[in-house]
Amino acid sequence: MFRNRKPLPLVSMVLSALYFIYVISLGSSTMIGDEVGGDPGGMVFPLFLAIFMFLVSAALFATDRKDPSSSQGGMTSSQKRLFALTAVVSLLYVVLARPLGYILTTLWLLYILTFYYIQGDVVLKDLKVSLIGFVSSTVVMLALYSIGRKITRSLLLAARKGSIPSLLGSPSAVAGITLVVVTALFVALLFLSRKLLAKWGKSGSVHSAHISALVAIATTEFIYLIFRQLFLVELVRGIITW
Amino acid sequence: MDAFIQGFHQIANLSTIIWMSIGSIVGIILGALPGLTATMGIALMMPIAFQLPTATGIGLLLAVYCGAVSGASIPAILIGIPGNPNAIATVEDGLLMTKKGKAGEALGGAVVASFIGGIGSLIVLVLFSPLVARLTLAFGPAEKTTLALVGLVIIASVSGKNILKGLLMGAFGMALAFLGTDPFSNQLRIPFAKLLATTPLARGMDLTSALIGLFGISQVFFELSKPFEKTAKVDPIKIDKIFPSMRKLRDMWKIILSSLGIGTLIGAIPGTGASIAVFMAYNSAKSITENSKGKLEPLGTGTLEGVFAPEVANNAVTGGALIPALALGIPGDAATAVLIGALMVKGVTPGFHLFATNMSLVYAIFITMLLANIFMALFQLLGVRLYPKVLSVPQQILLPLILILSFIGAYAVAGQATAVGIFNLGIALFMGLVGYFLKKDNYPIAPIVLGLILGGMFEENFRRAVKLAGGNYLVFFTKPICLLFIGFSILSIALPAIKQRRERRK
Repeated sequence: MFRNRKPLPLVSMVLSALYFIYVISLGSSTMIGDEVGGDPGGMVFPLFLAIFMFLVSAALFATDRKDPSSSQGGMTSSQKRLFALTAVVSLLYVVLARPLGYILTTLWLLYILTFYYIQGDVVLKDLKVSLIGFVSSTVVMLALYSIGRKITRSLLLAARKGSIPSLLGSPSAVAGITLVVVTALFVALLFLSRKLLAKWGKSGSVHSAHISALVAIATTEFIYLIFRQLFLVELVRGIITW
Repeated sequence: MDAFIQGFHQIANLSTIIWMSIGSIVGIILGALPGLTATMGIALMMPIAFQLPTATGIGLLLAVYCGAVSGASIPAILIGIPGNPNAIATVEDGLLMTKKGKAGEALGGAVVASFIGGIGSLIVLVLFSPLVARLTLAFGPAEKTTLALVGLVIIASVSGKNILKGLLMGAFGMALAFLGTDPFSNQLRIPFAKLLATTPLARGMDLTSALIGLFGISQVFFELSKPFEKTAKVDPIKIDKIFPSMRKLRDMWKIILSSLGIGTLIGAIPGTGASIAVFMAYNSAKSITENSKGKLEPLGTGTLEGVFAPEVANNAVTGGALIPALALGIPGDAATAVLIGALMVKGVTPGFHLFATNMSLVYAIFITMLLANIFMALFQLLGVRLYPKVLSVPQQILLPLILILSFIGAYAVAGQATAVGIFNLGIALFMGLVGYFLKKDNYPIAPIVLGLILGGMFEENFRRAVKLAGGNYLVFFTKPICLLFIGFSILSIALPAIKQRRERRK
């Protein structure tokens, strides 16, 4: 009977019922200083909303049915694996961002997802290449980040001491100079890695690892410079304390 | 005049120019990439706007908005795939013009049309929004309650094919808006209060993180559920002539005016949006060309008229949509809903209060809208040979970038508070997954945003109105403006429902 029904309205019905129970359990609170009365209280509207959502969900459960033709266009197994990988990596990003820090988690998320998206599937045979790319991109990223930090610190210190004009010590100037130097280093790295790869030959997964590493490193450093150094957003340091 | 000068001072700086230029380019690129919408672009840029002064931040978002609406015409003309639904009616004549070797003329024409649409609707916005805002002087809590109801109901009833789904999503957004503390008694209203009382959720759902999750992260998951799109192959384009001649523009004045009127009007009606306006403008242009006695070329044959009509209309929607957004706090479409969210995050509440107390900011918004249109035209014309290359960026690289930008955006809103930032990451991911499952089942997302934005306004004014009426719930049926709004709400549910039933019978 319920075979052609969609699950979402049912989930919504259950959530609405739970919301109703929750609102009742909260009780009604009136405005501070409502001695005269008249305030309908904080429960009325959420309660109405819970009933409304339940009724609409029930109506949808009854009327919104699965389209038999849509089941043919489902996800393939490789798409499902990529989807699951994205969900897991995203969840790990949220959980590990604080202990490991922005630099590492961002780099790894970008590298892993870009690599497997380019490969088009999550398969065991790519593991070795992906791990080599993973480690190399981490090493290069840390080197680039450390150079960037060194430049930033030196500029700030020099501006404070008065050895360079104070304008060069402003957050935007420091971020700009660091960006220019880091970009130059990145471009050099790009040419170097291309030459190296040309020597070793280009298999599909090596190419993917190369592209993924470059995208991950460039994006992580660029976002860091914009948000941390320009907007002074406190991006979590985690284990990268320098 | 003082307010205007103050407003001008707010944006007359290098930082605004640079950020708006970046916003314009980002908007054009996002608009040009099929599947990425103006709304998503604004949501992704919100965290940057949050770090900037209010006028500059709003300028950045408006630049993204105008750029994305206009940029959608690039793939529509070159490969026949609209960047987003705003350019859907540009496809037919745009693609035919490219096949005829007139891609440059079509792209240039689209930019000129977008500019005319944007500027024309800006004039209407400047003239009418203060008047509409003045009307709200007569609004008490009861009227404001029903006004919020109108905004919610209209967008819920027209944003999807199924009214019930739209209404459910609006209610879901409101339920999310109620999380946090009761505005009148400070009582905690979050589930698992003992566990979550010390988390940022006790202050309510973070709007920016929720928007980023709903429009950014959900889109990544949604794209993953489909096979990766092959990168579009754009043949080398011969671009010699870009600008339409003045004579051609003069000949098309009727098309321009009607498209401008349609775009601005449709934009000003909450919940309608550019995808409706472009078809109406195209149809209107069709009848104008048929009656032009050969002066204008017939639409559907690869003519500039067929590119001009929808492109004037879709950019006219931007100014039109800002009229109810700024004057009433009721967004015209999903993109302006996110813009209102950005204003609210900055502590600016749209409506008459904004016009009465912060007119300089209103002027600053008007000027940035003008600049947004100028930058959009400038950068699109400068990059007319370059933007087609954007279409060759593979989705495999684009999706991880969108995901990480969404995460960083949700985190960055917290600024120095890292614990709040990490919590926001969780909110964004959760809302992203919720948004994915909803999109997959054709539930519209825009009503959730409206619910989130208007939920607080609705409840506060509802309680105030009933309290002032001594506990009388019928107060909403005793005031003419309230009755008008309630009638409007009922009509906006009933009419699409009747239409749907008729279509089903057919």
